[in-house]
Amino acid sequence: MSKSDKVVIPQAVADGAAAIVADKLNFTYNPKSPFSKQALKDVTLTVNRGEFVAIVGHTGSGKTTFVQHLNALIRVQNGGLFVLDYNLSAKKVDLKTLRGRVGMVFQYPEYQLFADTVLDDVCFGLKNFGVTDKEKREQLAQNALELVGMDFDKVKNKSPFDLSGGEKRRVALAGVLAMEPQILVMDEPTAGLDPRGKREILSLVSSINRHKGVTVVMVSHDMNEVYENADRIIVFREGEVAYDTTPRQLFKKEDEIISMNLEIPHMAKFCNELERQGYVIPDDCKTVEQVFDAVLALKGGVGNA
Amino acid sequence: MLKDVTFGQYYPADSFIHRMDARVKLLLCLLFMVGIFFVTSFAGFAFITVFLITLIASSRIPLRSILKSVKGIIVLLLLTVILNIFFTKTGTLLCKWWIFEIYDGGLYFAAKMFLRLTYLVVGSSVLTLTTTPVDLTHAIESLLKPLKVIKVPVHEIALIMSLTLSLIPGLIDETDRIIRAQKARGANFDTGGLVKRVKAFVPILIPLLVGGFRRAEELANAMNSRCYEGSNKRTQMRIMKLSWRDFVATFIALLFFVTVFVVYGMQSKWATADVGWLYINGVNWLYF
Ligand SMILES: Nc1ncnc2c1ncn2[C@@H]1O[C@H](COP(=O)(O)OP(=O)(O)OP(=O)(O)O)[C@@H](O)[C@H]1O
Ligand SMILES: [Mg+2]
Repeated sequence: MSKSDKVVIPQAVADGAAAIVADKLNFTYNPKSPFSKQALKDVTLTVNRGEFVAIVGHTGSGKTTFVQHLNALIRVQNGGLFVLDYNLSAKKVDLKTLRGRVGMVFQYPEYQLFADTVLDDVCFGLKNFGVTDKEKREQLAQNALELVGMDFDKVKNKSPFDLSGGEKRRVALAGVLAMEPQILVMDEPTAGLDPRGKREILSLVSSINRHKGVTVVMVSHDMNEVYENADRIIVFREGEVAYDTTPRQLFKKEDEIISMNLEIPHMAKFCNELERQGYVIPDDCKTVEQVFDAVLALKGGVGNA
Repeated sequence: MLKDVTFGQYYPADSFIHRMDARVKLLLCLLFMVGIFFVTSFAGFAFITVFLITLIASSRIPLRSILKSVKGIIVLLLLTVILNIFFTKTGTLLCKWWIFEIYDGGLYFAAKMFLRLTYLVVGSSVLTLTTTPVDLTHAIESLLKPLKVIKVPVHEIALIMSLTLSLIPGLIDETDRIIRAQKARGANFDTGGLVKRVKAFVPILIPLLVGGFRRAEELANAMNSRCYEGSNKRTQMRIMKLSWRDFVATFIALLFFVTVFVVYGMQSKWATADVGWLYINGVNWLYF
C-alpha cells in the first residue's frame, strides 16, 4: 500500500478519460503462510470510460481476484489502483459511494437472493445506498426489472426462489443495475445459462454499454461471446497481463492463444482463414453479417457472389 | 478473512508427528488432556511445558499457528482467571478493595487454570495441526469399531463426520462469497446497533441455508445414484498401519505421563489438600 500522502494521480484519471487505472497491482492470498499464493503480479492496465473490456484467462489466472479489487471487496496490498475518482490504494476509501457507482455482478449471482419478494430483493441495494424514498426505489427497481426483460407486475410480489434459474439471474442483475452504476463489473455473468439466456444477457449488457455509456468489465470463459461484444480483451496468465488488445488482433495469434488453454472464436478462425486466402477484413468486422458484407464488398457488391 | 480460523486446521509439513498414525495421536492426545488435570503443582507444569516445547519443535509447526488457536479462547481464559482470582477465598488475604478480596489461593488457582486451559488447547491443536481432518475421522471410526458389537452405527457416524468435514471448506467459501456479494450491494455488517447488526445477517443466512440444502440434496443424489450403502462390506481406501514411530512415541509419552502422574500429580494432591499449605510447610521447594 502506498503510504505517502502525495499520490501521483495518473493523467488519464485526472482528466476523466479513464474509468480504471491499475498500476503494478500485486496481490497474495494468505501471505506469510504455507498456503500463500500470489494471485496478481504487476498488473498494469487502463479501462477507458464507456469501454467494454473483457478479461479472459485460464482458470486460476487471477481474473476474479482482479475484478474484486475494483469495488474494494479486496483491498489493495501493493501497487496503485484508481477507479473513477477513487484512489483505492489509499487507507480510507468511501466504500459506500464507491460500491454504488461500481456495480458488481458475481458468478452465479442468483445464489445471493434472499428477500421475500423480487421487489424487495432488487430494492436491497438501493436501500443500502441511501435511496430513502420508497416510491423512488420502486420506480428504479421497476426500471431495472424491465431493463432485464422481466414483467414487473407479474414478478414483483413473487418469491425469488420460485423463479427459474435464468429468471433468478436476471433479478440479481436487476438488483445491481437498479443502482445505476457507472461501471458494471461482471464475473462470468453467463456461466451455466442456456445459449439463448446467454445471448439475452449479453445483448442487454451490450446495450447498457452503448446506450447508457456504462463502462463494462466482463470476465468470461466463452471466447465467442467475448469476441463479438468486447472492444478490447485483456488476457491474464498466472496473475499477469499477457495480452491487452482488440479481439481481432488478439485472435490472429492462434498458436499463442491455444498454448494458453484458450480457444479461438469461430468467427476469428473464419476471418483468419479468409485473410490467409487473401481477403482483407477490416478490424471492426466481427459478426457473421459484418464479415459477409466485407467479403461482398471485396467481391464487388451484391449479386456478384 | 474467514479462512484465518486456525483451530482444527491442518498445517502441511513433514515431521515425525505428522507421520504418526492418527489413531495413536488421538489416543495420546486424550491421555494428555486427562493427564493434565492430575497435575496440580507448578513443578509439574514446568515439566509439561518442556514436554510441549519438545513436541512442538519436533512437529515443525511454527509457534505462530499454535498461538493463533490459543488466541481463539482468550476470552474464556481471561474470564477463568478473573473469576478464580476474585472468587477463591482460600489462603491468606493479599489485598482488599471495596467488595473485592484477593487471596493468594485465588492467584494460585487462577494461574493453574490458566496453564491447564492453555495447555489443553496447545495439545489438541498439535493434534489437529498435524493430522488432516480426513485422517482424524478415519481414526475415530477405527477406534470406535468395537462399539459395533452393541449395534452403534459406527460407520454411519463416521460418514456423517467426514461429510460434515468435507462440506465445511465449501461452506466457508460460500459464506465468504455471499458476504462479498451483499457487500457489493452496499450491505453493512460493521456498524449500527445490535438489532441492526443481527438484521444485517439475514441476507447472508438465507442464501447460505438455501445453498446448504441444495448442496446436501445434490450430494444425496450423487450418493444414491452410485448405490451407496453403508454396509459392513465396505473397505477403506487408505489402510492405517502402525509403524515404529508410533511405538516409540507411545513409549515416550507413557513414560512421561507416568512420571508426571507419580511424582507431581499424586504427591501434590495431598499437598494442596490442606488449605494454605504454603504457610504450614514454609517454602516447599518441590511444589513451590
Ligand atoms: N480465497 C482464496 N484463498 C486462497 N487462494 C485463493 C483464494 N481465491 C483464489 N485463490 C487462488 O488465487 C489464484 C487466482 O484465483 P482467481 O479466483 O482470481 O482465478 P480466476 O482467474 O478467477 O479463475 P476462474 O476462471 O477459475 O474463476 C488461484 O490460484 C486460486 O487458487
Ligand atoms: Mg473466477
